[in-house]
Amino acid sequence: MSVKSLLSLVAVILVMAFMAGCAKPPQADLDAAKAALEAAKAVGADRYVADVFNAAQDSLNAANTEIEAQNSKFALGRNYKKAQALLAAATRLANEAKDKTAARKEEVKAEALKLIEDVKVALKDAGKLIKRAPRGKEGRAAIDAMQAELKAVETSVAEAPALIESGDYITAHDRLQAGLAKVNSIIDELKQAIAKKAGR
Amino acid sequence: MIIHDATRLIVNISRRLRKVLTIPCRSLKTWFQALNPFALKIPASLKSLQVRFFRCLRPDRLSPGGKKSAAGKRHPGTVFLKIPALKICLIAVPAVSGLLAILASLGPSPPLKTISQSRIALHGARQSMGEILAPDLFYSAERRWENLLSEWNRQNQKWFPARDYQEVFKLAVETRDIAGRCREKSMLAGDSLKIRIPAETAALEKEIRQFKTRIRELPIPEPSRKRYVRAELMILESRSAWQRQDHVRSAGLLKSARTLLGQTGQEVSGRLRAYFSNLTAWREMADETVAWSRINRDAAILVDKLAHQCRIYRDGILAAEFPVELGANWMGHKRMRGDRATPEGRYRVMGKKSDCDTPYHKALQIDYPNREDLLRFEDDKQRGRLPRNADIGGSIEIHGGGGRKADWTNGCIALQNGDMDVLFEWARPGTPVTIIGSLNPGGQPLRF
Repeated sequence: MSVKSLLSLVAVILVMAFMAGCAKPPQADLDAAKAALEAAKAVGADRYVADVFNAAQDSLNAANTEIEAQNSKFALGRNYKKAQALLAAATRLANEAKDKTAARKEEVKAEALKLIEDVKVALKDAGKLIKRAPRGKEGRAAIDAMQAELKAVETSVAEAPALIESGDYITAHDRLQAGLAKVNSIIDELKQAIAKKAGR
Repeated sequence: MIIHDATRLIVNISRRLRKVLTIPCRSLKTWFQALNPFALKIPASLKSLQVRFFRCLRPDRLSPGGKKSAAGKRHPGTVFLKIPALKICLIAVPAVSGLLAILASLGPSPPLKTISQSRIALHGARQSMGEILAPDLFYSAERRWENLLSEWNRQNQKWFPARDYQEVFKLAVETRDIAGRCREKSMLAGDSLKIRIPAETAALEKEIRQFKTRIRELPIPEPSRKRYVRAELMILESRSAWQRQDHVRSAGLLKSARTLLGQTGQEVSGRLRAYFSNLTAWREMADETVAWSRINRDAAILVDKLAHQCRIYRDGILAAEFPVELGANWMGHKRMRGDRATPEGRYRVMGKKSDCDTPYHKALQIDYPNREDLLRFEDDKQRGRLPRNADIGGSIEIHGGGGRKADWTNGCIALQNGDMDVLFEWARPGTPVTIIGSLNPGGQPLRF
């Protein structure tokens, strides 16, 4: 190979290096990461799996920083590989948060649906016990108060299916659990009153 | 800009040297176009340069000085460069690039360390739930971060000597400081919640218990009763959230529960205050009843609704005291039929009913509505406080059948049958029956 051929080859390589040096920011990756994060937030990942979601958000911020840091450099010296890796991590974490949220939601939903049945059964039991409860010493006022309380629980619990329907499983779950606890406390109170009466 | 400058430099050097090279003109043209995003017109002189790229790559076909190749053809309309220009280019391109790189490195550089610190601080603020516990600071920091990125990007678009990262630095410092403060505040708030929530839950539960005890005997309206039960349920919900480590939601629920409880308490207090505004008049009525009994040496009946007591005075002296049960909505004066309220005022026994005349063992019929009741009723109707078709009601009695431990009548006063026998014995038509709200000043045990 002559000197000229060699020089030409070097020229070609230089031009290629020059062109390769003018690397473009990974806009597609950035858009994909942003979209993944928005999708995760839309399903409530920031509430259900906050730690994973926050990590994804931080990765995106780090990627943005890296992109701008590269943009600050001389064109030939730019390298967006690290930014690409950070964006890939952000996308992966956002998708993971989304998947975990979906799984957690299903779990809470199943628990909430079970609680609806439990509350119904407990309310029935309480209704039966109220009929057997002594009116005398404990007083009818107490029974009336209990009935009012059970009615209020029923009203509160009746909102749960709508909450589940709207996807707010945590609130539905908490409300049902509270309702069940209240009904159970009334049942205990009634059982004690009935036992006291039977013991006399 | 860099590419543009480099291209121009190469072209100028090439023009001056005017040496022929063997690089294919079409490829070169394409390269120039590709490397020339600003569509710089290639100087006409450049066209005279002769290039044969393939020959350059293939020594066997090399024809220095731009002579005809073995095939004996020149490419019509092509651009040629002289051979020494290639050498110059090979030196000039890296040299210019290097020069530009040096210039770039000498130019202003972004405050990477501070930016990184601000990003970490923002992440810390987010992790410590700053978004919820210190939202003002958090959103302020986040806004600054967005502005920082946008300003940084704006500066990066500029020719590097013209860049100025002062604003970026300022925003980075602000973001770092505000996010840091947000994190501290959130952590403090979080720690405080961990201590405050259990204490507040216990306090509210105690308050609920006391409230229930206090209102047990009061005919509080259904919405108020529902509200305090809702408050109780919220406290239980708050417990669930607490167990799930969702302290913020737990605190929010407790706050709502306290508000509900406060509203109910205010309603009940308001009702009680309004009720006790008549206390002076009730006391006067009670004193007059006792005085009447003393002066007339006769029996007089005094019913204290709040105390749920019926007192019998004989010759001005308290002879007996019986527990009574009232209308379900006993608090306040009876205004119309069906309101299940027990009237307040001065009445007299109109008639006595023995067990064959009443289903409630025995009964003393009183003269409700009296003249005062009728006047009040008409006034209320005229002022629109009562429906136009409202009826004042009647048939208010003191009767037996009591002892149910609840206020169950439609406005009558119920005694236990044994007590009713005593009262029935002492009373006669014309015996004064004074029904008052309370003798207890301010209803001390019922204060909220």
